[in-house]
Amino acid sequence: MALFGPGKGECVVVHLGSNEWMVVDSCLGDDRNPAASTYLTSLGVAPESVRLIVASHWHDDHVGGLGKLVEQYAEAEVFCSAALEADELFHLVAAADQRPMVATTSGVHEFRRVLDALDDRDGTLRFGIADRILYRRTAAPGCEVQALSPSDASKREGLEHLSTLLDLQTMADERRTVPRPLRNPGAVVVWVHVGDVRLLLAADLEVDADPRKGWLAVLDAAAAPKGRAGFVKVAHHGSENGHEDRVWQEMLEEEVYAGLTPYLSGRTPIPRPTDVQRIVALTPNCWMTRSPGTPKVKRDWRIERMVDEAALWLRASEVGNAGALRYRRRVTGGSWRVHASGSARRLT
Amino acid sequence: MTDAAVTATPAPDVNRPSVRSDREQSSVQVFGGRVRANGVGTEWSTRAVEEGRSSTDLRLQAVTPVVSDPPWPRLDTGVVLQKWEGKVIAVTETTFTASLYDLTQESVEEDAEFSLDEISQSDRHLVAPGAVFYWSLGYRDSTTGQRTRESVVRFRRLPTWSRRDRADAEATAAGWAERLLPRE
Repeated sequence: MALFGPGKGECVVVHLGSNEWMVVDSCLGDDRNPAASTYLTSLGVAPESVRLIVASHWHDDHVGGLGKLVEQYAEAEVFCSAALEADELFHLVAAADQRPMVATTSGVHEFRRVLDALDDRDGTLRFGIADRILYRRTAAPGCEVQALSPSDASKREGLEHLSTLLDLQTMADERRTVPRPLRNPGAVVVWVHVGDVRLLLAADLEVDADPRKGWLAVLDAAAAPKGRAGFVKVAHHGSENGHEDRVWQEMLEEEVYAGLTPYLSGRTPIPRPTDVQRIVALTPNCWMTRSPGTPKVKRDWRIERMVDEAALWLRASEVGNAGALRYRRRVTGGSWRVHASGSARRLT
Repeated sequence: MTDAAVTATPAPDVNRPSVRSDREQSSVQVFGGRVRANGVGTEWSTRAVEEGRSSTDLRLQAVTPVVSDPPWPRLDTGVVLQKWEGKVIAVTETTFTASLYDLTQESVEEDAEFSLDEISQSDRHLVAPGAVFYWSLGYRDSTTGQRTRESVVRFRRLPTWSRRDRADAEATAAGWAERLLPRE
């Protein structure tokens, strides 16, 4: 399994055994190609061996290059969150093409590319929701990929959130583009079980006080997965609002191997130092795909001075040397081996 | 710049002569018959150019002092050093955050936060999530020769959809729903 996180973006590539592969989310590498594509090509993986592509949620930092992946891996089933199953979304994606292009990247245009790629190959857009099996292989080593979220209540909340964001009339009236969603009620958490190995890919799911939503709904679901995971992709970049103690107590092995992608953009980059302390106290085996800090694009000193005067802060979120983590373990058991490259490092 | 050699290119339109200094590569701007050299306010007569003498090595004589008002209005000029296209992510009571795409050089996406005080009152109502704007940094040279640093944020009002645009989008969306969604 490999984890990529250049500072604003996240992608997990999982070998499901028997040379079958899954990609969860997508981000761009230093060469501006999807990190998953570059990695799989370097391993010599044939495109038809990629069986599953999952978009855990439609935030820009999780869908960079996703359209290209769907084009490239034409045999893969494509899943997105059931909280996106809305006619308004299709309508908006179609309408967005009527706008003059703006240079800023947009998840909407990425979504359009995914739909076009699926349309070209007579494919189907599938939806992940709690308790749904996304992939199953009975031949040894057995494999099952299950969505643990969103719950029905989270899906409903996600759809409501979407409808307020995607109101075409408001956008037309206010002459603006699609705003970036700021919440993740509909994020798809994925549970992978291959042989004796279990993985929890926690997406950006957050904790909600309502037990029907967020992590509490996952933990208390009737069809919660059995066994404990030996690896966890830490939820929501290690932030406090993605952390639920019961997940670590009930779903994960002791001293679980963990991977974390930072989100270095925004007013408060995450994980914060207190988040790192909390995670290190939970497991000594957590790595992060790149060092924290506030990367900046180098510019002429006159411009730097003017930026300092005009903006409260400005930072790039993915400046070079994107790190990657590779975790390997036999499906029959044994210990994990971790290889960190680029600026990836172990949390201490 | 006194007695500087100034080269005038042939000017088919004598009202808009094009003049360029070949001693210093910096700008010499022409404002309707007057030449201002290097933004320092030195003024030169362009009578020779106006008379149609279109030599490519035309030496102009300084005429000082210039006492009359310029016949045409002179405008501030500017130098843009850096420009971004931005998209508003979130707005608070006093600030807004935005993602920025560098239009000056190939670069990665950046994020920034600005005080709403940076935005003119006329544009303030446009600051909403999803709004597109341009942010440029540079120098402004006033007609009096003053150079000041300048940060300008201008919001863009995107064209709205026509009725036909909407109908086309609805048809496309209906087609996707029919072809791409799983059958129950």
